[in-house]
Amino acid sequence: MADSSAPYRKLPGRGSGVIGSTALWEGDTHLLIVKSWPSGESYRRFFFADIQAIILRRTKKRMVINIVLGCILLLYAVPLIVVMIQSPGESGWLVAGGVWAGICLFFMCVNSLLGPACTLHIQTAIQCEPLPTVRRVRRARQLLARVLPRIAAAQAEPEPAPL
Amino acid sequence: MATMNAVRCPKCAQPLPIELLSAGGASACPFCRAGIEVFVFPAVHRQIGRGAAAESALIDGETTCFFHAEKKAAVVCGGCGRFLCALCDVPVGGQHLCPKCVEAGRTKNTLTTFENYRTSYPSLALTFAFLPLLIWPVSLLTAPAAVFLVLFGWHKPPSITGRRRRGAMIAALFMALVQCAGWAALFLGLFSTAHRG
Repeated sequence: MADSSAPYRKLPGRGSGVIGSTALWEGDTHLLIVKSWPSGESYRRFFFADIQAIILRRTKKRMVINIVLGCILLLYAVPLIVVMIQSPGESGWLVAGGVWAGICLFFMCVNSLLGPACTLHIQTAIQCEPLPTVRRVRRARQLLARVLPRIAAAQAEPEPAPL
Repeated sequence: MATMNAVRCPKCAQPLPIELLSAGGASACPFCRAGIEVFVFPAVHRQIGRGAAAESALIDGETTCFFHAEKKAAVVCGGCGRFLCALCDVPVGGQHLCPKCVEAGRTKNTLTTFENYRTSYPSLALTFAFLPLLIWPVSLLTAPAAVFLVLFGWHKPPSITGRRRRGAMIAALFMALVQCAGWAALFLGLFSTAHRG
């Protein structure tokens, strides 16, 4: 019997959890969400012909992360400045505080460079499911560039001719 | 006029107005003001209704369904080539199959469309091989288990995506064998010390 599962191609984006990860793959007829755990993999399929809509929603995640990191940065930077002013000879405090402040600053820069955050949802007749592999608009655009033509082509195909 | 299924805002779950869907590009949900961009496909107009009803064969000699001799054949099974009526036609991943082929594919795991879980022996072996880095005494049990998993899972079907991950298997085997060798050396040392004492 012919197997309908043609080779899969990896799509941009990857989701990660505490013990597992999620990836999105493109098959000939469907999208496949693969959730990996140490014990195995679970699969969910979204057939191109069944997808009614894809909804990209912009979120404030980038701003929230930057605010949290900024607060942590201030927590290190303020005492650092106080120590610098009051006792300029204390190099140990300066190094420790400087390293932590630098780490926060680095992650703030990375977060800003990654671009605006978003969630991507796939709606079918029975569900509206978020794609856990996409968290940034740039990645979502890369994914959409590959997926949208496939869905449009699948839904433009005529039904098989009757005998 | 064809009715359209509602496309809902993922944040507030309110149905989005048609003007917003047809406008395209970035816009805001009129209910929660969330910034959204919606891509709508023709399937949004498809209603879930009753399945197709099989047509009765009216003319003598007309091709009929393999399972229902009185019903007109509509498609050919992509698995076994039998003629099927609309009732027996099971569309699976772009193919048209008969119920027998679907059942056979499901039980023999040849039809991966129905598969929703697969054991990952490389991941399991890696977990067992590297878990002792956190709690080393458990390696007495986990190292042989990792070796067993590598040997048992070597020829098992890989991930459905086709990734075989032989490298992970080899890394797990190497790590597990090192741990086994360590335990063997420890026991040998203890044995020889006790023997001499």
